[in-house]
Amino acid sequence: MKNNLFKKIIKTLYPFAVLVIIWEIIFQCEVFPQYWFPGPFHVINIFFKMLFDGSLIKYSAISLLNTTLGFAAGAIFGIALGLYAGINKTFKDFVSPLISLVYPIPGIAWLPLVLLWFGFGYKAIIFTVGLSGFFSVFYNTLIGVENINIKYIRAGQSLGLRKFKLIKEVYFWGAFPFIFTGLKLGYGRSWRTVIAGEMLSFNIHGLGWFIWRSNEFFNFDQLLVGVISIGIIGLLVDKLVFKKIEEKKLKLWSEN
Amino acid sequence: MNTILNLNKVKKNFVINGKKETVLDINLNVNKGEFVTILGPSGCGKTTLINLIAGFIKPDEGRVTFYDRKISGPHPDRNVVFQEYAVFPWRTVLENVKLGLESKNITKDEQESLAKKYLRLVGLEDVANMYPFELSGGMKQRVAIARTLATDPKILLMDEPFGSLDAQRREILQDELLKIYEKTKKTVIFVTHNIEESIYLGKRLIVLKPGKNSIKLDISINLPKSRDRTSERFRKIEKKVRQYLT
Ligand SMILES: Nc1ncnc2c1ncn2[C@@H]1O[C@H](COP(=O)(O)OP(=O)(O)OP(=O)(O)O)[C@@H](O)[C@H]1O
Ligand SMILES: [Mg+2]
Repeated sequence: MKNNLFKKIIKTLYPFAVLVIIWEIIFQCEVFPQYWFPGPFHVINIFFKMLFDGSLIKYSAISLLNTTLGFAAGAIFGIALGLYAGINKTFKDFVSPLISLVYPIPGIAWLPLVLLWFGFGYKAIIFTVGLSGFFSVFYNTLIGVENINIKYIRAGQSLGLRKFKLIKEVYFWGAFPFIFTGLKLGYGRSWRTVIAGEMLSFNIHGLGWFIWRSNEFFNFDQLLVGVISIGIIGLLVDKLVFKKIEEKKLKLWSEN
Repeated sequence: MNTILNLNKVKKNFVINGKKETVLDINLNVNKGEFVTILGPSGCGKTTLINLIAGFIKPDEGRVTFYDRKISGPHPDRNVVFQEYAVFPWRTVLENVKLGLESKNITKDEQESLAKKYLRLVGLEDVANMYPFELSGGMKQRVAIARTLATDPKILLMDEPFGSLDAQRREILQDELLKIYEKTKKTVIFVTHNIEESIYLGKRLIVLKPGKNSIKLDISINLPKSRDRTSERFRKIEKKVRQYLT
């Protein structure tokens, strides 16, 4: 048992060890000027320094907060409107062409416009983040509802479920595997948008802002710490939130 | 006898291969407490008939009335056990059975004990907290039966409910269903592919055929309460029904 866990840790860690070694070799051989291309051990050192002095936590928390607030709002609208479009064909026929046009636009493309509406600040970022997440959730919820086997809807109706209860118990859960995919995709989009948005803003001190500022001050080691943190947070959210839901909930749908 | 279900000159058409075809063309009265079995080849409109009575679809011609009221949509009074198990995978066995009770005017405790009572009836009290993906096909179908019975429908619509079970499990469930029928005195419409099953269960047997004038045979079965599949009278009826099916 213990031995297995040990093996698993080794298996997960060794690609990173290889990466660090290659990185160190490139650094030592001065493929790029060392000033622009800090070595791994220096970056790791800065990473832990920033972790323990709390600054990294602070930047990350702000980015995570922006993402979570914006994404939650976007997801709620996405699920609600997606369910509605899945149930009401008239509404679906109206919004589908619009959504297909807007869906491929990266959320960040809206930011300049949104900044005009809301001014620089949290409101603009959160709105843009929400917008980025919304479409994936909406789209997948709609497809999810359309893919519900009609027997479930009929069973629900015959059991006497009406309106909101039917939507909650049958449409929502019937579409859940798709909704979940939408949430995952949407969260990824939101997270990307938050970083880009913070890079463009001067008064929201999240990871994006930190990376941009490090660049302007030629602190390339700190810049890398910021970039790596984005990856680590993305990984943690995936492992601690989405993977957990996947393990607990999604297996229920795997019929036989 | 009091008729509770009436299909008056009902026609249902579907476009099949680009051609409009009459799938069902039927006049039918069903009395309170009757156990009607419906036989017929695949595609003759058995599920369509169930769907009409359940209120999932509307007839193109004629009227379907239940207790003298035109059927306008699904209702727990006409609850269905579906051809494929329609047990909700996202709810446990107990939660599935409870769902139909949640919109009734009873306390949570009453819901729970009622649901458990029906699970006991189909022999599933031990798996109450399991999810459908952990169950066999036969168990899922029994959950569906318990869930439908729990809403206390006035008429029980069963669309090949035992179609995917092995012979042994099928016979056990047939006997369970007959017991429930004796106990609750419900009206039952039971669709099946299986001639023996239709005679074993039915008090009245209807054979459908594709196209116009759907009813090909409509007989009552006057066999004793506990029926012996191997008896001469049973076999005689079986032989007759078989002739109408070919
Ligand atoms: N929604 C629909 N649209 C078009 N055709 C349909 C529809 N529903 C049923 N049909 C057609 O109507 C006919 C009768 O279908 P139905 O499902 O009632 O048959 P069935 O007797 O239940 O068959 P089985 O024994 O295979 O379940 C079939 O030819 C089927 O293809
Ligand atoms: Mg059928």
